[in-house]
Amino acid sequence: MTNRSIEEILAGLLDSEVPHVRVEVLATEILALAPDEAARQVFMVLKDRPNEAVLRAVLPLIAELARREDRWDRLVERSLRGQGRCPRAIREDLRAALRSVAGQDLPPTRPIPLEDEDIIGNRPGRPGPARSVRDRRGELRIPVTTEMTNLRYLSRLFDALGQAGSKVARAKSVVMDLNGVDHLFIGGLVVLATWCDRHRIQPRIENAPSSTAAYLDRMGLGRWVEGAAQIGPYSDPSGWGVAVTSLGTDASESLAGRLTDLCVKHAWVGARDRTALVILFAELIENVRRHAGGQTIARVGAQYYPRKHRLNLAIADTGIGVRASFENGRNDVARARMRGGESPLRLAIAPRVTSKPVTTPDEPGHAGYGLYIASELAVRNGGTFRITSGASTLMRFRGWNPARQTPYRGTEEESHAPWQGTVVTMVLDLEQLLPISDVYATLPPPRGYADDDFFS
Amino acid sequence: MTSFDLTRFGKDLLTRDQGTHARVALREAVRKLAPGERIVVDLDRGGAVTPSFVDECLGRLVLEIGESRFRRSIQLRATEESTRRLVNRVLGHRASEARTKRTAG
Repeated sequence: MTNRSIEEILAGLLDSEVPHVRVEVLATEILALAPDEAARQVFMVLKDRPNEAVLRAVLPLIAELARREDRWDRLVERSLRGQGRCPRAIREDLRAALRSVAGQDLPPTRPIPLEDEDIIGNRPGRPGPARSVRDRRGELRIPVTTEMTNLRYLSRLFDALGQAGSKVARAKSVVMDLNGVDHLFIGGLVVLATWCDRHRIQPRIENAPSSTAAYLDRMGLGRWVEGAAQIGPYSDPSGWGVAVTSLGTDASESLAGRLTDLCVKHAWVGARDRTALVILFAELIENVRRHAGGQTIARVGAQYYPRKHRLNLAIADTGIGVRASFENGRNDVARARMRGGESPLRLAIAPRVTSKPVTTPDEPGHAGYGLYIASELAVRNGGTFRITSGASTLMRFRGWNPARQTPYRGTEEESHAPWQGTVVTMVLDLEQLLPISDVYATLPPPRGYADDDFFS
Repeated sequence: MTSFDLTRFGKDLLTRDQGTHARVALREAVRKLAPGERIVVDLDRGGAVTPSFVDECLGRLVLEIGESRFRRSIQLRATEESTRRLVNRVLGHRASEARTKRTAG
């Protein structure tokens, strides 16, 4: 048994001109210390060093490992799927090398989640009207469609839940009708679960195709489905998602860690991007915990789409909402701006604007960084950021610069039934950078302080 | 120089609760400092540091003990550019607020 770590072994490999025999020795060394974690660790080292020379040097070692040890099939499988930011030429070499080792008998693969383009296409405009909520003999029946759960069309889900909200108190039972719905998206699931928590109801799922019922079960909502296995609230066993989880069950650190692990496990996320992700998730979760008000019901969930390296994330709460937070808060300037006609959602994502500033050293308060950093990071990543509160939704995406104060061009709309609370959804492209340092550079500089003032 | 170990508050320093615990401990360490001594706070520990943590731990300490005592007592270290940038922005604003409040008071 060797005493060297996998990182040291790989560093040795990278420092030398490697004859084939050396690769075999190293493979023996790694397999000697390899429990199931070994394949993952080697892959992580590779992900942290995404340059061509490193990948080319390590390629023979990976191939050798895959040839000699069955469990490296998992590495083969993951490498073929999640190469992320690996340069295209290397990606193809890696694929060819691994295929030559594994032959045609690659291990059976888990089903890859379909993306919105696969399901609902890129339709211009908004889809037609939804079937309306029915209330018959005490049974409240809410028809749910695939489109309603998609991040782009969540306004339709808000409309349906708005209709249902006025009737739910009288209903003896609530049914989510999934007739013909063979796909659901994470954004809608998070909103639906939060709405049910708020009204303290457990709906019954009807007419769901078996694949949809299985997905609900995997995403922690198996209790809605008769006969489902109910696998627990945390992990989607398919490995591509983080189940819809209540923010009341775990610490922010733990939830942020689980969301980050999902990205690191599947995408080509280096150490810096890992840092950016954990900061982003922690700030979003803390923002809900701190701003939504006491006894808040909130849920978070995420789904990774490996073919496009995209992460969809949703976090919903049933708190007091952004407008009321500013109205009831201690920030007189922000309240005056809002009363003067400024959008509360624009204020919420502006840097250093908070409803609860610190006014005395002992008083709990905030600084107004969280939502700004999340939205700016999404924009710079080429992703999207949406925030809904009340009847308004504001969306930020690449190309929209709030500093220019240009008109919104359709990025803010008031067109759906009010959501009591706040919903934030994000799409991130994990093949692109998450430049957190650039985001910090856009924070307004304090007057009278140089850039490195506090480190001198 | 005394070293202040941030790792005991977690590998990743993410939440205001973590920041509060760290600030209380740091304030106590500052209180016990001998004249002319400084505490080194090393932010390069391998984990992530959020704006909320920095604000709650260091920013609020600036508000509590004042900028000049903070600078006299604490030596910050970070090699990561993003961390330095974040800390300077957050502390600069808190120091500026502290000065404004003193002037107004």
